Amino acid sequence: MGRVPVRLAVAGAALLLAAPAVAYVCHPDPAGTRSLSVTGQVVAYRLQGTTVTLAVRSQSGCQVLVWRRGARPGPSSAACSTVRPNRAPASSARLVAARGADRPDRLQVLGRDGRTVHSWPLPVAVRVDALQVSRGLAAYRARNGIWVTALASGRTTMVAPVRRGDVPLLNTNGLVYQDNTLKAAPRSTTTLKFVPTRAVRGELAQTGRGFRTGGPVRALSVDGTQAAFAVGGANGCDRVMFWSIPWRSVFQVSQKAGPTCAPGTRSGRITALALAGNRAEWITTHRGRPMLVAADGIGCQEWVIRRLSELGPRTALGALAGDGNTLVFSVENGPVTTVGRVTGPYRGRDLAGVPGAVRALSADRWQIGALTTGGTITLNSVHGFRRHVNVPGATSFAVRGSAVVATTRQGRLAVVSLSGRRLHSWAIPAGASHVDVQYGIAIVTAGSSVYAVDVATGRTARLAVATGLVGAQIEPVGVVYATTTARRGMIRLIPMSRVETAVR
Amino acid sequence: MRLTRRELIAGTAGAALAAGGIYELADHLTASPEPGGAVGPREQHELQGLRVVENDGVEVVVPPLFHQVVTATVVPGTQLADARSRFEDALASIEDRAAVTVAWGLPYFRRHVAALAGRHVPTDLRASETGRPVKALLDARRFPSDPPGVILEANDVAALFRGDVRRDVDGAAAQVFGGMRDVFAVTSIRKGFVGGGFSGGVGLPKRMAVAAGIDGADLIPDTAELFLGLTSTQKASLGPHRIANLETLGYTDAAGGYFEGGTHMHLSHIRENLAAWYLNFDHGERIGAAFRPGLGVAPGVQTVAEDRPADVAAVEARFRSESRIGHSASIQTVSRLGRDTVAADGTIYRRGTSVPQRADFNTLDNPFFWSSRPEHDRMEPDPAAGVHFVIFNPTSDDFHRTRLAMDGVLPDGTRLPLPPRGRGQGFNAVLATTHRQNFLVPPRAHRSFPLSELLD
Repeated sequence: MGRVPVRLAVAGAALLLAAPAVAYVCHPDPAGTRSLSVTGQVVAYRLQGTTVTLAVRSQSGCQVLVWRRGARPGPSSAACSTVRPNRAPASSARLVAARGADRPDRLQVLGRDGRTVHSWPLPVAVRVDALQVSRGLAAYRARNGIWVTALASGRTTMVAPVRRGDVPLLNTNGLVYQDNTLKAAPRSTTTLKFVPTRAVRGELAQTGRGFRTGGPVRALSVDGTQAAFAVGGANGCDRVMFWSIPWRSVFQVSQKAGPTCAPGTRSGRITALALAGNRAEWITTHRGRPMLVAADGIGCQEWVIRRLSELGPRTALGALAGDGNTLVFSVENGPVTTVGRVTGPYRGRDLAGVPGAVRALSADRWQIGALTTGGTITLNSVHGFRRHVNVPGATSFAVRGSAVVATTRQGRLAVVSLSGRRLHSWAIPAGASHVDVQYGIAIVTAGSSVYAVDVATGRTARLAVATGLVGAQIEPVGVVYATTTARRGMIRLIPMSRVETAVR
Repeated sequence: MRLTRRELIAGTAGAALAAGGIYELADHLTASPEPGGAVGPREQHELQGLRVVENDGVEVVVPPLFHQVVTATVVPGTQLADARSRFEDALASIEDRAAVTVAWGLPYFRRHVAALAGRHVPTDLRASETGRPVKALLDARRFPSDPPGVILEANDVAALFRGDVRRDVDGAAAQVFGGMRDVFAVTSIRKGFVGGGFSGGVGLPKRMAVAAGIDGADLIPDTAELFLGLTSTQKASLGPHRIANLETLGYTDAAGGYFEGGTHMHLSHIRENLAAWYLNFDHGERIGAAFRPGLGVAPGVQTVAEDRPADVAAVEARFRSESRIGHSASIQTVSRLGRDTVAADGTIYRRGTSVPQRADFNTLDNPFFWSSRPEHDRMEPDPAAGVHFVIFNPTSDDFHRTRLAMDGVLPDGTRLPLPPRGRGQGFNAVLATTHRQNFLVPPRAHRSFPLSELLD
């Protein structure tokens, strides 16, 4: 089975990773995947055993093909109208959508008596009408791909991007879908893939497994189902990598020879990093001064957003933050700090001025918060509104929905509404800071430990102890944290199901 | 005629020849028109009477504002004798409005005058030194920094029209090819512009790019001659009169032959990523990439003196210390004379004299204004910043050597280990070539269907 090229900018990853996760120059199909490309549009298909019957409409009309394992597809005399999808029944599980609430969509696994045996949090918003279950696996559509969750463990993986409108089929033997991995493929051609069940299980076993990096980890940021991390390079060029967690791939986003790694003006370290969706920004150096650079996981192109060498000696790049489509940064210039946003075409656009130095930024969709040294959190929206929330002694904060969560010098986790009303104040481990929050669960780090705190109850649990902790963040996929030594690092995932179990 | 780009792509060559498309904007952007081209000397590739101005303290040749290239194949069954006289008449009839240079591709010579071409197309003596005879005109090739999928074209003919009045240039091309549809099947139309800002106003590159909504257009300096913001027609960097002729430097055996007074033309289309150029390179880095790293140039300067060409040793030394080369410095190792040279006509060209004569121009074509095979040429409906690169060298091999040097393959055989289109490779990080072809430019007397009269 051929390997499908999806990205060209990932060659460096092969050298980066030792084990156990694998870095991909191409995103490979799971082992044993069968692939069939046909000219025309696949208007319907059904799966019986390992045989796929498909109706293909092309300029010459509609034809039925039968595609058996180990054989070339052959024509059938059947009419296209006889080909109807045969979905696997989903009586032993159901999908429950969060419908906009700050909680995950869930896969509920039902016992024979109809009661819920498991309720697995899912890392993406799902289409609840497309669930199929077979041999302990649930398959469903989410975002633009076909996803599978193991009913017993809750492990979840994205098998592949699928064509718009496609409803993949699952049975005891495997999964069939219209592949959409190769975006440049001609529209007149449709590629159908069959992934055997054992291959799907193999992918599930790999999903979310941590890995070592070939150099020290400088910074970490997580958004949605993806993590970005900066790795020190032996040749003086740090690199920015993306880990697409459910799709089991790691690839380089910074250019091999771009602004971050410019010939003749080798960069300094990457000192900060923020991820928003498929875009990241990071701070490196240029002519001895900080420089803000951004890129995405598709374009293979870095963009310089701000060069402090052009902004005068009294300027400093402050904090970074990202969420969804929003990437923000702050630039200190004397008594005022400017909060700026990275636009779609990769320009830096100033949003607001904040008095004083900004200690931290946080972004939640279109909402941007800036924490200044006095403990004032200024909230701005890209749409123009502004409000202030005071959390005296705040050392870190995260804004999420209608609340702000902040750590304080007094060893508390303050939960404050956007109107400034204090909702909760929980004791947290001494020195805990770097708070992040998702689905009502806050993450803080203290020394080598990562803690989870239920912001509604204050229930606290230590999730991990890790020497050389670089950072930890919580997103729908779970908690991702990074550790490092001077020579190499480690990136790990704690799935959301485990995080929930720890504090609820 | 006003047509959208989508209509243009879907339309006929005749409609496209008559259409101005987005370039009609230039009619509102340029000052009062100046006279068009004039009937030139034996060398049809050289323009006479071009103004020389001083910009940033450097002498600059002011090229014509508007350019158009029409490529075509000769319709099978064409009676060459009749076509020759008609084409010559058509060319002569427009020369009061636009300068025209006609160049012929290998497919023409192979299909229509193969035996005569074998005898008369000059041999590249320098390239033949390894033993195998090499002609002055070769098939185009791909270069290390070319993106995958560069199209090597196979046109019979390319005609370059140049002038300061857009309508005259368009009209000339339409008149020549519109009247010969039974002889030429037009394969592409390529349009563009250059300059317009030397007198201090906003030049055509910026105004046209802004009008077309090109990403990064706002970052182009107002008076820039080209999209990339740096002047390329410094007098010192353009080959002087006749130096690019086939015979002048003795690179070929053309002296006294049919093609004496002719030259070689390379035509390519290159996309330019303006936003990456201006955002990711500061002014000093742009100067370093375009000329040579470390060159001290004041901020804002667009025209840089190139009176001290680099040699191989300097380029190699810079690469060893900084892992990068400059565009001009690397190609100057080939494009500038390495020693004083006495030409075939007795002219002495001093060491460091530039050999190629450039005629490139910016474009919003993507990649062409019109194509007879839009899928094959990967025509896109939206405008894109680019350059139709036109350059006259004595031979194909000479152009190939120059272009290889741009990629770090130096004339002494040294291959600098530069990643393709890497930032250390000067301009290449923001350029992406889409099409290439080599042509032979006959002397004016033989510009119409060269060698065909010998068949009569």
